[in-house]
Amino acid sequence: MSSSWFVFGELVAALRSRSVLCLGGVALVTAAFLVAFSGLFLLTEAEKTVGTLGPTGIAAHLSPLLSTRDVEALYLNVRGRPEVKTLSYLFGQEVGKKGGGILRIEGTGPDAAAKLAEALRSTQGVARVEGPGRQPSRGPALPSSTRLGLLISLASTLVLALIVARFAYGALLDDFAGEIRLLRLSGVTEGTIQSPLILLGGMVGLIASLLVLAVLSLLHLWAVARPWAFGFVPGLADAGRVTAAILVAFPLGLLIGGLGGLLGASLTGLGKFRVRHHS
Amino acid sequence: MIQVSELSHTTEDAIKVLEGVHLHVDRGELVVLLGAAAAGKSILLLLLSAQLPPQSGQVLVLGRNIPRLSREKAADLRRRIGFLPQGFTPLRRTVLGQVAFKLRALGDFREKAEERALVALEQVGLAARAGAPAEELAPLDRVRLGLALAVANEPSLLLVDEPFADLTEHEREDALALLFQLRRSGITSLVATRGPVPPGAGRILHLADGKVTGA
Repeated sequence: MSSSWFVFGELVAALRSRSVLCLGGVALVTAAFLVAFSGLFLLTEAEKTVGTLGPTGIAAHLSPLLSTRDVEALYLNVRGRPEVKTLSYLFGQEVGKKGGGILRIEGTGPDAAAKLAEALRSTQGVARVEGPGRQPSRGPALPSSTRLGLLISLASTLVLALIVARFAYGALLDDFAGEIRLLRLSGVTEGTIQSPLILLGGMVGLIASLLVLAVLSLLHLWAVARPWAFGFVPGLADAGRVTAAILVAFPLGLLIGGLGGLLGASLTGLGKFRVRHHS
Repeated sequence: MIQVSELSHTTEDAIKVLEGVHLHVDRGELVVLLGAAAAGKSILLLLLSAQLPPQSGQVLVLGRNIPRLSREKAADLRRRIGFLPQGFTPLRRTVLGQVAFKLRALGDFREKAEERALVALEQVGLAARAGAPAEELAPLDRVRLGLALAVANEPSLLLVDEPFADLTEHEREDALALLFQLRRSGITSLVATRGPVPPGAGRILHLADGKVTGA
C-alpha cells in the first residue's frame, strides 16, 4: 500500500497545467451531472399535507425565515381581505412539515379564491401556494417534459464527463509515461500502477460533490430568504430535501470520479506505456 | 540461472523472430548475445524478464518457469531481474532522484531509498553526478545510470539490451569493464548487442535466423 501512495504522490506531482485544466473540467461536468440528478429531488412539488382543497380552498406555505411578528402581520393582512371566508394557521410541526407554517384559507367563492391565490403567490414571505381546487397527492410526479429534460441532461453530462476524463488522464499519463515504463520494468504490480489513478478519480469526484454541496447550500439559503424567486424549484427551500440531494451527491460523485479513474487506469495498458522492443 | 528450450516467438505482424531457441546461462556468467538489428535480441530479453508472455517453449529463469507464472509471480520475478532496455531515456529527475524513484516504488522509505541509490551510483561510478539532471548526461553516463537503476535493488540477474550503441570505442571498453565489475559482485549478466563487441567480452552467443548458436 505504501508503494501505491508513493506512486499516487508522484502522479499528483506530475500534474501539469493542461492535465489540471482537463481534470477541473471533469470535476465541473461531474458536478453538472450531480446538480441535474438533484433536480429529481428538488423539482417535484412538496408533499401536500393540508388535506383536500376544494374549489375555494387555498393553502399558503410560509417561509421558515419569517418571525412570529411577520407571521402575525401576514395573518392579519390576509384576514382583512374581502375574498377570505375563513382562515386558520397551522404550525409546520402540526402537519409533519419542516420549516414554516401554513395559512389554510377558504375563499368566499371560486373566483375570489383564484384571485386571492394569485395575490398570495406574489406576497413576500409566502414560499408556495396550493389551490384552489387542487387534490392532495403524495410524491407527485414531475411533468414529462421536465423528466425528459433531466434524463437528457443526466445522460449527456455523464457521457461528457467520461470523454473529458479520457482526455484528462491521457494528458496526465503522457507526462508520466517514462515513470510507468520504469515501474513496469522494475516489477511493480499493475495494482500499484493503476490504483493511484482510481484514487485520483475518486478525489475528482469528491471535489465535484463538494462543489454541489456549496452550490445547493447557497441556493437553499437564497430560496429560504427569497422564496418567491425560486418557486420553480420548490424543493430548494426544504432543508430536508436539499440535505438528501447532497447526501446522494457524495457517493454518486465518488462513483463517477472512480469510473473516470478506472478509464485512466485502463489507458496504462496502451503500448506506449510498455517497454518497447526494437528487435 | 537461465534455461531456455524450444522457445519460439512470432510478432503481431506474423514475423517469426525466434524459432526453437535453446539457451543456457550459468550463475555468475557474463554472456554476450550478438545479433544483427531486428534479429530478435530485444524480444528474447523481454521474454527472459517476463515482460512478454512466451508463446511456446520453456523459459526457466531464477528457478521460475515463466509460462506458468501468475501476474503477481511474474512481477515478483521482474523485481529479481535488473533490466537496461535499448534506447534507455532518463526521466526528468536528478540522477539520484531517478534511482530513488524506483526503490521507493518498490517499497523503500525515502532515507533508505536514497541510501541504496547512492550505493548503486557508487557501484557504477556516477555518485559524483548524483545531483545532476539525468537527461543532461553524456551517452556513457546514461549507460552507467541505466545500470545503476538495474542493479539498485540488488537483482540476481542483469539483462542489458544494446548498451554500446552511441558509444565511442573507448567508451565501449569502459562500459564492458563496468559490466565485468558488476559480475565480480556476483551478478549474472546477459548482454545483447549488434556489435562490435569490445575485446575481452565473456562467452559470446550468436542470434541469427531465429536461432541461438554457441549455446
